[in-house]
Amino acid sequence: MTLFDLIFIGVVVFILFNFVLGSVLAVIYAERKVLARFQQRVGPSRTGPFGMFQTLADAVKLLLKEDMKPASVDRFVFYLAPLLLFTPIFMIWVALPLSNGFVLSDLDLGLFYVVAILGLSIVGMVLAGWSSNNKYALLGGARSAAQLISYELPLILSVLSVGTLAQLNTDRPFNLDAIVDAQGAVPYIAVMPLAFLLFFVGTLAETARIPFDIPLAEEEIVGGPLVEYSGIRWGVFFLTEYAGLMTMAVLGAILFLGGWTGPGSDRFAWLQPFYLGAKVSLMVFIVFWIRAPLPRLRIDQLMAFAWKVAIPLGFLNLLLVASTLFYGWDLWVLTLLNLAVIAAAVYGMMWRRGRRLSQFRERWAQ
Amino acid sequence: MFGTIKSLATTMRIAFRSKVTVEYPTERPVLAPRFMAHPVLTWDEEVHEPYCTGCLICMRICPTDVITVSMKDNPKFAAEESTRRKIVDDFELNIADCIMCGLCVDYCNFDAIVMSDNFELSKQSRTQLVQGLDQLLDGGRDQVARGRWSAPETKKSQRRAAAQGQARDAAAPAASEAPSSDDRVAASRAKAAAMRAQRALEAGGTVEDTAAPIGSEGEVDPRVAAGRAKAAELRAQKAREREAASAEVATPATPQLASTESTGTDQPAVDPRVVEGRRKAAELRAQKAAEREAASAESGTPATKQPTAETTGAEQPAVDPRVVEGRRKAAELRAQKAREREEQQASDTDEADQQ
Repeated sequence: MTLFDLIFIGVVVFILFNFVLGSVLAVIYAERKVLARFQQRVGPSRTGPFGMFQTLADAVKLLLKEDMKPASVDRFVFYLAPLLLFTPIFMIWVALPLSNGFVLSDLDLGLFYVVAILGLSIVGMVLAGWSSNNKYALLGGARSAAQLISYELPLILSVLSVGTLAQLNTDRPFNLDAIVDAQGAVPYIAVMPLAFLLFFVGTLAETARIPFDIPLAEEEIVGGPLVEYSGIRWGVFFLTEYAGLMTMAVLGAILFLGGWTGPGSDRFAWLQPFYLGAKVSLMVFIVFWIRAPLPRLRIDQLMAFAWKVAIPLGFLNLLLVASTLFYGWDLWVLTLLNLAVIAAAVYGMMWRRGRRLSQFRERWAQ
Repeated sequence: MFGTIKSLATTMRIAFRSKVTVEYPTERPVLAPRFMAHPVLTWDEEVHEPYCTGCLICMRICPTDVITVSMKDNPKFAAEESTRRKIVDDFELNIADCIMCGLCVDYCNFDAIVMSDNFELSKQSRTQLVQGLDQLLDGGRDQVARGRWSAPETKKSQRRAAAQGQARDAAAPAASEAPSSDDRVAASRAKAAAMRAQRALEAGGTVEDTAAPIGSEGEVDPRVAAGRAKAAELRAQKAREREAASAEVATPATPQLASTESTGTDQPAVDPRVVEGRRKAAELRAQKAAEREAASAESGTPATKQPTAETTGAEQPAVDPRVVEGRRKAAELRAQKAREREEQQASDTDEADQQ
């Protein structure tokens, strides 16, 4: 490795880092505006045009705030935890392509790499909770461990089904670039709606978004692992949450929404990042939209959904994809099977809920 | 499951509604008509004094004890310019503790206190949050200027308007023709006429006035007495002029205002014949009073024309028999007036309770 290589890597990492940070600022601003709209408010409107610099001002404030450290924390781990949480998100971006071939490192097993790195951020949360020497923080850390591990499984299963299906059209089925190419005109959300739903729920849980914000849960455990952090260290947690959301949205757009493809994207390569941006924005918007009306789940509901519904459905979906490949069915058969499974799952959940409600009423009637 | 989808649809529907945020410093909120900030005091433009009589009801009813009031004798009442015997001396409102409940407004019997819409109350220090009488009166004028409050159309003001109408009629040559209105207005007009007659009588030859509480000293310097007599003469003359003027142009002038307080009882049902009789009696009284005044002016007894507020009558040397007669009648009328006043107070209290 020459000196030039080192300089090159440094410059590229700097650009990437700032790109992610800038997009995170934009996402936070967008969330505040969109959420305000959902609540008939206006959101930030004072700092800069339309309040655009509000997040930047908040970041500056966090940078300037005193960095407090409680006396009883495990100092080394306490300082390490934000970095452990923060680094994997940026490591994922190394392998995420933003348009055809526009990627820092075009890994053959890019999908595996992303999924593997994704699991690392759990460690940061757990360590933050542990090292804070605070009951709320520890509880939050334990919750996040339970939740993230539970939802890692359906997420990985749905991602795996994408990689499996991509074998039809490409010989590099776990390369993100190739997956986008393999989708062609029909994105995988149309082929595997069930897998997309599982991926989306997994995304919400992985990024600890409402209604799955149980690890943070301001009203119950006052922010969980974040409770003892202040200043820019707290800001790193906050930033990581949104960077994770952004990362998962890009991943979802690549895996299920056809990535950067769109009308005219073959001829005009400069259109590709805009298509990807639009799809990512759609994903992020839906996450905000879901945040607005829904309450937080209970931890038992969360775990029950993961282990009783999401993981079996993930396995079933993988089985269906494998069968499609094995028997050489057309893709619309897979779509129909997926929709049938979704309908059956919804019906089953409704039926179970109805039965439990009637049992409840009977008990009250006595 | 369906509930979740429904909630998402609801959220999206709400997102298309107009915003409810008012970005305050750059954008002014549209206040509701019944918006209540802190209370302020009102100003009687007719008499040029506060409505507040310092009765302390607001101070007593205030849940957070932010109101402090003191009362004094009203100099304008002594000068017969106002009907308020007592007037507010000082009024303090501690806005820092005011909960803006409006109880003071509800309990005020004199429309003296209203809730303002001035919500911009931030100050640099706590002491600035204590507003005095002048500030509160300014606040009240501000409310009037912005059309949020106007002098109320009460039964009292109706009586006042009616008295003005009667004054017009009485000034007319064919005064016997009463305007067609309901019995209560007719009754009050008749009483107003009676009161005016009495007032003229008092101005002409009153010896002492039970309604005037102050300044009944035994010995007065003769020069002072002479001066007072002259002043009373002038006042009486002015009052006559004013009455004539108000009869012509029907503007509210102080004699009518003064008479309103003593304007008769407000019994709901009065026999029309009784009303007619009262009216005629009032006319007769007025006529007699005018005659008597003319007579006293001729007979040249200026000493009898004492200011009503301060007269003792003790030092008048020679008393004209007609004056004695006038005094007797005046005493009768005063007694009647006192009775009526009592009744009216009772009915006013009823009104206030009803309000």
